[in-house]
Amino acid sequence: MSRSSVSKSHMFLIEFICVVMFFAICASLCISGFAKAETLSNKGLLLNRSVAGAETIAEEIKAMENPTEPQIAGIIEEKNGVEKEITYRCETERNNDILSAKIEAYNGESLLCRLEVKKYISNGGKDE
Amino acid sequence: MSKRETEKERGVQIGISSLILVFTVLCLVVFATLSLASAKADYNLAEKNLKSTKVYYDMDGQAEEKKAEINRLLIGFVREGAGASEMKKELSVSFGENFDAEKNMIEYSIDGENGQQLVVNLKIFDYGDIKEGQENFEVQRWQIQNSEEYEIDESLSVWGGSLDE
Repeated sequence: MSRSSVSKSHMFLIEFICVVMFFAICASLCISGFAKAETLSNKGLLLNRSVAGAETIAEEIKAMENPTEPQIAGIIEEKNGVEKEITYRCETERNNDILSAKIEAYNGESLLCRLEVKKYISNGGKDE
Repeated sequence: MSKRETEKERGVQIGISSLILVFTVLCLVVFATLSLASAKADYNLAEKNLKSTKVYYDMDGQAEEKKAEINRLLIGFVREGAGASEMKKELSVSFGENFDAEKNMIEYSIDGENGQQLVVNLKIFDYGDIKEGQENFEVQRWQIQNSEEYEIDESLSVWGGSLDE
């Protein structure tokens, strides 16, 4: 092998090593960016779904004539049966004739959203 | 080997691999930035949606409380035996312009954020039909409206579609 061809292949090897290293650094940075985007996108999607779900529960409560705790628990149970990643919880409180329901949506143990809905019950919660 | 050729070999080599690398890295950076920006925008929109939903239910809750207050007031009139005309008089005093005695209608609004308000119209039952344990009105309107006046920007002279102008 002549001296010039050895020098040429050395130069190519050095260039190639530099290229691979630079590519590895850039690729790791970009992949972390893609991963972050994926996480953020999933988070946004979950938030949208949880808000829509909580709204559905709120509207179901508002549509009831005289919502009772077992009825509300039934709605929550039905909703939790459909959803896989989101769990809904609801706490109700009655202040005279105003029923206040705090609807919370969780993904695992992390809180996604919380809505508070109020409903006026004209007969004070007594069955007719 | 000539002197010129030797100098060329010693210099920094920018071969095809470097060019491909530059192009690939550029593509990666552009797509990563775009996907991150898009995901961030989606998340911000989801948060805005949550905020506006919370504001709506907050207004709705206040409107429900007001509705309860009005019903209690109406039942109070019947309990006291005030009579139809006295009831209307009292409602006019309590609600002022928001009570339409002719239509027997109460209108109220709850202010929210972003220039919006929840407008509620309640048609009050006749005095004889007011009872305890029921809603003594019919909800005729429960609507979100803009509370700020919509102003059309007419600073640009846009052709209105007529040839006479």
